[in-house]
Amino acid sequence: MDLLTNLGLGLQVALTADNILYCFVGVALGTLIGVLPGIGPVATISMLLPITFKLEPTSSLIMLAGIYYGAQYGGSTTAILVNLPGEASSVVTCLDGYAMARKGRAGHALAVAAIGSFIAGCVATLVLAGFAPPLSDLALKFGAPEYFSLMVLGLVAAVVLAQGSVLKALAMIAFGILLGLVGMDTTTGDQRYTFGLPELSDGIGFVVVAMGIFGFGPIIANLEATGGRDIFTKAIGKLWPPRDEMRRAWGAIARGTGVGSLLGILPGGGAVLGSFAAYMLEKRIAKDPSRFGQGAIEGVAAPESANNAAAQTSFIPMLTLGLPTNPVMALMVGAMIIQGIQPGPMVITKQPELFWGIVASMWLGNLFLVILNLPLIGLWVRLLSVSYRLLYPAILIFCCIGIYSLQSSVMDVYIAAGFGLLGYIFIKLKCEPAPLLIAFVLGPMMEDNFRRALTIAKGNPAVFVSRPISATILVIAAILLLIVIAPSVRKRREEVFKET
Amino acid sequence: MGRIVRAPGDFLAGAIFVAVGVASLVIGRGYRLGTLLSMGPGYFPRIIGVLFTALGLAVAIAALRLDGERLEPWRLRPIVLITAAILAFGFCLERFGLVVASMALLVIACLAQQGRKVPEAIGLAALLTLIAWVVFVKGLEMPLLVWPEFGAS
Repeated sequence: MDLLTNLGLGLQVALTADNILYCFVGVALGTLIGVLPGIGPVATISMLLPITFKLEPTSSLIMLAGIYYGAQYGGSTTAILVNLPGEASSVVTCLDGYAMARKGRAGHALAVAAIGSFIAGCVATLVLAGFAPPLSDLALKFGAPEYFSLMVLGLVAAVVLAQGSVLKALAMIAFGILLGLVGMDTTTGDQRYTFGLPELSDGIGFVVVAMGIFGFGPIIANLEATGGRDIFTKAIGKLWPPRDEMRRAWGAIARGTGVGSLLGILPGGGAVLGSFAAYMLEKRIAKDPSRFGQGAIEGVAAPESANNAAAQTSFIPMLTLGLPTNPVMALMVGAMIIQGIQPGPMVITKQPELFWGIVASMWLGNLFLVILNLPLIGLWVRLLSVSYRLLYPAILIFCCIGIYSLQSSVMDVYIAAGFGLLGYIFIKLKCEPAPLLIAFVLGPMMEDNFRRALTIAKGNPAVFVSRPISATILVIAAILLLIVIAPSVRKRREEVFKET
Repeated sequence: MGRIVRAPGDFLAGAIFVAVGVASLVIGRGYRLGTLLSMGPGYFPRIIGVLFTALGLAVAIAALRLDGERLEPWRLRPIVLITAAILAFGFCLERFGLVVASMALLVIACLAQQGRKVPEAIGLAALLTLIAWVVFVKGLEMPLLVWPEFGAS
């Protein structure tokens, strides 16, 4: 079996001492930031990027991936014990998780979240291993028009992912593309929007944008809000839930894994959407929906399985098509480019050890996470009392030094301060920043493929609809856009996002 | 009595989008457009600029017609102090070295939170500066200026 040989190769890569260490560091860090509210995977990964440039590409991607799916585990701890989502993807876990904790069943909730995440993680690893190769074979046939259309689809999907107004999300995409155009035009060498600053001729660094908007912006917003939180650390209680509870949880875990895996693959999906959809599904099919919100174990099992599955399967479009579907994947694309790897269908064939190493490391990472999150849960609970008073200055200094060290440029620090303000304004005006970051990364690639497609087609714009694959992708994008705009669906979508 | 602007937050967002979109078109007016066959540096930016401005207008117009949330009050203290702290770090780093830059950043940033005392801020700043020095200069061996360089020495 091909798959087995490949996984074997992956295990060889993942099981070297170095990579085991980086995988462990990644998932431990992920759990940490998942537990701590106020710092998410985007900010953390951008902070660590400068450090990873010195590592082997495989090791650095294994570690960065671990941060992302590790955060999905940690986020549930905070949701259950503090009724605060440690991560955006754990918002729905708060509902039933905290309700369980109030009834003295915090241990059951924590255990089912960890078990569900582990099962989901293992299944999603197999989905990734099974789906990615055929998809990348297909993608090898893609030319410039197909890639352009694919990016249009990716951006449309980013709108689905965004909460709130569709119009605002579309505008944020245009904003992101525009920001991505700053710098030297790669085809002609002309300077665009650089205001005569030599620092801008290479464009604005994506880490600078990410840290400003996702690191600095939320700090300003968080400092505005005051008020303490009520932590539920006294009694975690028994971990393993009683048998009849567990029986109900298995089904929820299976469904959550399925929903999450599927939504992770789709462009625009990811951990957040996966957890919402899984919770909605559980509530819809339950015999007695009124139990939800009162501490239903399915309400913890399903979304926590889904967010972990989706976090892992969202690597599929990134690794096979070079298409980031959420901000974390956008950072991964950036990380790969800096390491000299062009993300796309060639990665699997040209660097099988990189691809299969990452896949295999995910399984290992999930094993670490179960150990970190079940027997050692008390450690993380204690960390919850780390006050934001200590946390935000630490984030600031690490971000600032990280930004400067990218290219020893003070200008980058100033620009990041500007993006911090912008990020704060976005939060205040309820403009979701995720589409902007995705568009920022995709923008230059989009322009490049747009130009090449038209040059190949001798200037005939019909090229995008006359080639069958490109046309199909554009039709899917159009349908998706129509669905999101259609009033009835819009109402449903708001319902999903506003939880229930 | 109807408000003229029914969704102030969205209206402001739309206005910002339009302003940035128009600015991009004005700044980019001199960029060569070229043809579809051989596009100049101005072609794609022009498309995006027009699209962005139009979307911004749509957001603003929708804000006049559909009810939305009122603007929350903006607290000036964290906005000004966090931004100032980051700028101070940038200003000091290459002139006076990491220790001064980091202390400036952290002390100003701590004061951004209400009810913090200066001695506590300085203590925390000193601790985090030490950690940053250990991690980045000692651990990762980043070539950072640590202390100010005096004279020609």
